[in-house]
Amino acid sequence: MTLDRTYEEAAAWLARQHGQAMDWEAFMVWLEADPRNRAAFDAMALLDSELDENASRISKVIARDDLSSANGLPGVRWATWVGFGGAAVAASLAGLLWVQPAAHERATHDFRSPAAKMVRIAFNDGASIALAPASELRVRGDHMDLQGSAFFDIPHRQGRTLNIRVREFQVTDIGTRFSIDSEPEAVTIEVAQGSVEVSSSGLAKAISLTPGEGLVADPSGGSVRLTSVETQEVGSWRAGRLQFNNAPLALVAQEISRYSGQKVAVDPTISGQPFSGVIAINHGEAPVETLAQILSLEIKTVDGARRLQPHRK
Amino acid sequence: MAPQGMLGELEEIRGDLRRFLIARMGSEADADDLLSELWIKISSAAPGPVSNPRSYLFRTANNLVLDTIRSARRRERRESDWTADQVAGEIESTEVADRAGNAEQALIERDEVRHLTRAIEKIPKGAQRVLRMHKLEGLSHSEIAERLGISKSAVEKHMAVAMTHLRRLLES
Repeated sequence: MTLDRTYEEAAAWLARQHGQAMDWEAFMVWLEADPRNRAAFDAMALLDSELDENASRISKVIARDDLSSANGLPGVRWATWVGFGGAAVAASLAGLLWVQPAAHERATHDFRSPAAKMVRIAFNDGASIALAPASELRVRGDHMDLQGSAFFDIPHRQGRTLNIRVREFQVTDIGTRFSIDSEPEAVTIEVAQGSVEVSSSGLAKAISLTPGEGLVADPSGGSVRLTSVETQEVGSWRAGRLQFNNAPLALVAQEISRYSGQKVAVDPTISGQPFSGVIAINHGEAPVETLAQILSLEIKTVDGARRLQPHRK
Repeated sequence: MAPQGMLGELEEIRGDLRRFLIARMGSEADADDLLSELWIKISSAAPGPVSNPRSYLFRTANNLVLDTIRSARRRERRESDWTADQVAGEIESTEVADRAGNAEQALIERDEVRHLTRAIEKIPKGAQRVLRMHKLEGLSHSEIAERLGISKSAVEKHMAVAMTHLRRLLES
């Protein structure tokens, strides 16, 4: 068998693994048939993850190429966004930024919100998205890529399906109000109205969420917990309130950091401690102090970060 | 399925999973390590609704293998970077070794991205389109099949063609 043929087969097995009907026994038999098959498959799998790791950077380069070939100007739109980010940092904390792309420009946009500042994106078709501080949303027509958190308000329109990718999850929606929060500790999806479908290669089948339902997934996607939520509290961070229901303290700290722009860390001995309650993050509030008071913890400042820890006896 | 149920299934097909891991890792010792890791993963985290536990376990085992080879690759790279730094430091001056930090790493990465992008742009059009939709835009195979009006197995074939080309392009 030629080497190229081996790589072709390896690529075919890799592609099949992303599909639904993977025959693991046949894959095993193929691997056992020749040790070179395993090496070829490893090479393909590594190339595949290299693509995944660099996907957003590659997209940027391709988008720039496409733009420059379309209008002869290299990277105009991208450059605009870099400038926009700088201006946004200087703007006031309490205010909101409104971005209104023209309808025909919905195709390609990258939105980035600075620390401690929410960005509202309004589309001409009535859809609006609130992007939480320190988050990023890439829009490619009806396909979006989210890093961080956002609240989506998408009116139903015949024949339109919105797909949002957050880490290894795909959220599919045809018209609803829902929020997605992605922190290193967990991905949380909550629905206020309508319904969304959540799928992932780690899930045997898609999970459908209806109003008042939520989902919390660990970063590797290995475990998924279904939760119930108050529909009026979904995305309450837009009004300056962070709502927690049995969330580990590490996650609470990550969210406070994102919304307040103030770096908050948690002592490892208490990072898994569950917290339920509401923390105000409006301008002028001191969210870390509030949390420390509720849980009777001590605050220590280390390298500019506020660190929550148990009282030293 | 409750973790107990999933663990029961794991015990049930332990032999098959072990055989798979040996075939995948090329070593019994590595396979046994990963098998214990799989057991710990399943017993510590309750998976969400799972309709096909057997396939779920194979998939999870397969992902553990991928994590292992990925971190092995990263380790290899770190070690070779370290060697390069040392050599530069000895031959030229300490200044060179000092500068070989994050900025240089960022340059190497940017170069890698350019490399990958150029290669992607040379893949035959049909396959390239599917690869970009799947790997860059994050669409699933079924979403691509629906959008392009082709079968899911055609999507798989396009992906296989694209990846085979990509590997060959990067090698040359």
